[in-house]
Amino acid sequence: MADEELRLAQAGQRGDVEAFNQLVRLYEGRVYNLCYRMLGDPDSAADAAQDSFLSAFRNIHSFRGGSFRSWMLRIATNTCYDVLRVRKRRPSTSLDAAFDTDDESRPIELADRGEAPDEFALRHELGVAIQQGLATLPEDQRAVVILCDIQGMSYEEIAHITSANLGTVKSRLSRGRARLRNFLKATELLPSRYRHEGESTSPL
Amino acid sequence: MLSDDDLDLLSAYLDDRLSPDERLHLEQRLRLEQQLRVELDELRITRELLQDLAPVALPRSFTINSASVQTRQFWSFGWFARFGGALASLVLVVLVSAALLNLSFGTQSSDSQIAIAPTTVIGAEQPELVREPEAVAQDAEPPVAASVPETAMADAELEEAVAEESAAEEPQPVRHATLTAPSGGATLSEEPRAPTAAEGLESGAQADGEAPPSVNMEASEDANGVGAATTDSTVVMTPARAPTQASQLRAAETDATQSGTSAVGWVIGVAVIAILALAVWVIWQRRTAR
Repeated sequence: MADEELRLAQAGQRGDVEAFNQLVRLYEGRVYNLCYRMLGDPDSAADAAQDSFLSAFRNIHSFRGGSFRSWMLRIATNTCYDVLRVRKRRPSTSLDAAFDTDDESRPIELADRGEAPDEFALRHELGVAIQQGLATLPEDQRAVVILCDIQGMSYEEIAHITSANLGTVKSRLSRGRARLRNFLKATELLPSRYRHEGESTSPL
Repeated sequence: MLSDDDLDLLSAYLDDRLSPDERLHLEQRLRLEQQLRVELDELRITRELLQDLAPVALPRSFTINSASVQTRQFWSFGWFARFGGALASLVLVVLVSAALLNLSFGTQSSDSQIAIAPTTVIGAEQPELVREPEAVAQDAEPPVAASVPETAMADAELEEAVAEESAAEEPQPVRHATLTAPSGGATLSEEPRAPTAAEGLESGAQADGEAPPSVNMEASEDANGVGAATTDSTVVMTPARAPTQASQLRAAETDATQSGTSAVGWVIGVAVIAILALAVWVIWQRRTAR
């Protein structure tokens, strides 16, 4: 797999757009989900994902082997940081978002096969709550929590993506998890079964 | 409320990132501390909720359109698009630096002329120097000598001394130069010929900011009733002639000062350009390193 990625990346370095698009197809889901969790808005996430791939293609000459996934997610993370920085500088409110009362603008979450409607509704509600909780985290903690707990990456890979050392990744992750936990508890969005379980179960 | 260290330990424990000793020590604490167990459960639940989040469906494909990329590359000219901003900045800096340097040179040259001008005035006020050309001219032409009595005459000793000096310095070229000087006196010092004593005189006079020698020529040729003019012209020329070497040295010093200033200005300009180019390069490297 890694060899195939390297071959496609080298072809992309020679200007082969189709070879690079194979890499795009491999990672567009991961990149878009990262952007969506970071930005919390499907349109901004789509723009950020597209910009990330375009930026990756233009700077493919700077890829010198290693994990293409880490390299690609690093570009996507920095693109999200740029978007968030612009938002802070020029805060704006979308009229569409302000008048949206239904869930049409929300991205479609993939349902598990055989999942009951009430279970899907509960999971959807939890997803919305978690996304709101992620939005309360500082950007660096948010990125680490998403990369570790949602994308399932190792500490080492996260350290490479975020240009931080392992100790920083650990502390950002623990603080991000604790903040998110506090948010879910405060808004009573943490499922009751989990809350009651936490008081009765033993970790060992 | 747990400390940050305990939170770090619990988070790392969930991810199985503790060393065996740390893990053993934390498990001993978990058996004893209820609050620690609750915190660990809540963090574990939060982590599981995050892991269970369903992936979001893609709204569209993010593959790159080769036509648009090629068109963009064609219009951006590859490296030029990458360094266009830096090149534009460099060109702007060069133009501004050149404009500033030219402006500063012009100001410096006018300053040097202004600074030398008082020296000429002081020389013109020395009456003994006035007679120098007349002493030279006494043997040559009466009209010029005839105008001498109208000027302020000095003592005989000075006259003799000036005459001796004039003889030693071959006075004939002085008069010749005075008579044959072109009307465009301002251009004399710019002629590429080898400098003679007369040219040194003229260039010295010009360097001192005096009137052009054409005035002197007219006054010398007009022998009738223009003694005052002759006197004026003599006054103009003589201070420059007496310190001929000093004037030449002063002119050379002025040139050296200007050339030194220009060199310093160019060094400063090149340094500024280099610093700006380096800054642009560093910014570009940091942006592409992302």
